[in-house]
Amino acid sequence: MSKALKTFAVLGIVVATLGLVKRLYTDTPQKAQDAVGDVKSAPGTNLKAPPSPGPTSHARDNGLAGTPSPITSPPQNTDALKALIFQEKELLYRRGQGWEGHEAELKHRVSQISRSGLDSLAQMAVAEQADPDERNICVYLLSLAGLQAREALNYVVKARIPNFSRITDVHAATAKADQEISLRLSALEALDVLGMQNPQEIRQDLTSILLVQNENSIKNFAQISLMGIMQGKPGKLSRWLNQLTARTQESL
Amino acid sequence: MSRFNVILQVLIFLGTLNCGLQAMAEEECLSRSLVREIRRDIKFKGDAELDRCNPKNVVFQVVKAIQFIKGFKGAGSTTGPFALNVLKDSPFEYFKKRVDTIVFADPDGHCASGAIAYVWGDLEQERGRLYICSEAFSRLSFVYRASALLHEARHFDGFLHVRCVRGLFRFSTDEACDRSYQEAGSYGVDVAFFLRVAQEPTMSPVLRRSARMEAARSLIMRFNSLPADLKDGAFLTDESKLVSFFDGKSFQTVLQLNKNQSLRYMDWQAEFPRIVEPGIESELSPGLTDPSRADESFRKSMIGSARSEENTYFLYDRRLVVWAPSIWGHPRVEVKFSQIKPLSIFERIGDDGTPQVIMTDRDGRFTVLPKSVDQLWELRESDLRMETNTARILKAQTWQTGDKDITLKLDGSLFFFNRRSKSYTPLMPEKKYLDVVAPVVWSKSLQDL
Repeated sequence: MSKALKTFAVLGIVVATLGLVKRLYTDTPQKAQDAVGDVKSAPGTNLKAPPSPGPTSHARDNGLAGTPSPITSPPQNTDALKALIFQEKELLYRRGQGWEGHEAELKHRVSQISRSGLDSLAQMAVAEQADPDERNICVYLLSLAGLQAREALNYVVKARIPNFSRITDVHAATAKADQEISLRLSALEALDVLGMQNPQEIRQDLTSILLVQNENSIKNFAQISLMGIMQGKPGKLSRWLNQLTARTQESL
Repeated sequence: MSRFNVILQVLIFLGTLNCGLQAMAEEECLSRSLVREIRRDIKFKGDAELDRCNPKNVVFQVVKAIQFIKGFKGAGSTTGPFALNVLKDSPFEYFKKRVDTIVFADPDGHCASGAIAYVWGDLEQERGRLYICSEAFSRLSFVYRASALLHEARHFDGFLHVRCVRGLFRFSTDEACDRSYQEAGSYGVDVAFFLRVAQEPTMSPVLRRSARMEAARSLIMRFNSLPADLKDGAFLTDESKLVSFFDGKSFQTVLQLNKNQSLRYMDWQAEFPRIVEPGIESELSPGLTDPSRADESFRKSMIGSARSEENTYFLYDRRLVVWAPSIWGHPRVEVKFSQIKPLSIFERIGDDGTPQVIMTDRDGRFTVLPKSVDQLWELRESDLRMETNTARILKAQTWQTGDKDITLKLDGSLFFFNRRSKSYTPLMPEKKYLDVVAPVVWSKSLQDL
């Protein structure tokens, strides 16, 4: 009897310790480092497929809504992507050090994502009904993937801006549009940075964006990027954004 | 073992188990102490109840946004081109000085318009009350929710929006701009906050990047006076293929194109129309759904598109395709060219004040494309009457540079356009331009970067 009780007490302490350790663990950006694992998807999928309903609902369905845990062998490849997005979303609320290391590790993991996995991320990024933070994370992950994400990034930048004419409040309509546009501009900036590695291909992408995308600020930013390449200074858009923020070091 | 020891061990077990399970369950929850702390400063009223463990609950989202704002310290008074000093104490101090109650209700039915949050900044009895429109607020990104709270709070200082005199919302009757960033109105506070997030090294890179982009775009779109050295204008390519930026007053050399280069494809008039008719989707699909494969040939063969109220026109190197929904059953009209060598397509306002779609050719001629069903039905190349009096035709739509509107006529001459009298004044009659890319925002810094 006494032995059994002692065992229960020890178990209780173990569970409590696990809970606390887990809580502490999720307070650091390092926690998602092991999240992706092998996320290579099956070949054959591409961006022609209709947009998926977005990562949120699936994350819930897969039981990922609770505490995310490191994934070593994902049951399905898409699940691994969604788990990664979910874990990055958890980190949105955290403050701390070590982001550079986290980003470097994430970059390494994202580089293992297959072409169809990158396409899936692009589709999730432009799914209007999906959670806006998760959509931003998709673009962020694509921006870490290097030249192999070029087509997926193009897909995001060129995606149509939804029509918000049903919203009669101009501030609300423009706030919604702002989010949509900023998401595409983030993908555009990623292409701009890739222009430093491969200016000729990115130049083609930018001219094609100027033809396909009808939103004026995206066109303007694409023109800035394109002008950089034409002047022999690729990455101009990104440098400009850096300069803009650097000049505002203590704006508040 | 005594009975006392047994009871004690059972209690220890239950206590520790409870702590552990609670720690696991509470992981995603807002802490009670945080909620208490925030409610000490800000009252919550209205229909919505806080669900501490549900990130989709709107009160949860507001508390989380306030927690985020609370995480920023004051920067003190600063100087420099972007220093606003509105939030110098700390963003939360600024917020709680202006807002004492957050109302999760919509007594005036304002949320039905799609509003996110609102205040009655000019009513004394409403001072300090910020209304949240739950549905729209929940659909914002995390950083945008926080900025929306700070934005609304600024209205209590008497800062209201004004009509836009430049930019995307220039022709809107709504008040969707602030006068300037330095005025530090609601949009100014938005931008300043976004920039603060963008440069905070302890924040997630996702948030920082999103915030930086929001800031950059808002700086260009939301202020009647552009900040820093940014200017509205156009890229003009002259006959020697020199591209300059023209802001309505002066020219700044941007780059020298070589013989085979052109900026023509960057003309914003080649913009795609919004796609509403299902048939048009298939016309555009090569470029929209699979840029990797079809885009190159698509881009090469397509010259541009234009849209009238009735139809959508696509011009390719050897044909014109018109989508005319008013033609029942078969709305796609295709005209193949054997004589005409098409150059550009664009929409402009005709002399009678109605919009027209113009097609130009490489021989310097133009035609006004038909739009009625009768004219479009069985349209052939020979039906298109090409005219040569290009001086009265605009090559580009008018665009704003500084306080003036500028346009380029088809013969390459640059004109000021008086919007009120609808008259044109030649700007530099001796100089001709091959092309224009407008409107663009550019600056000396951008040139040098």
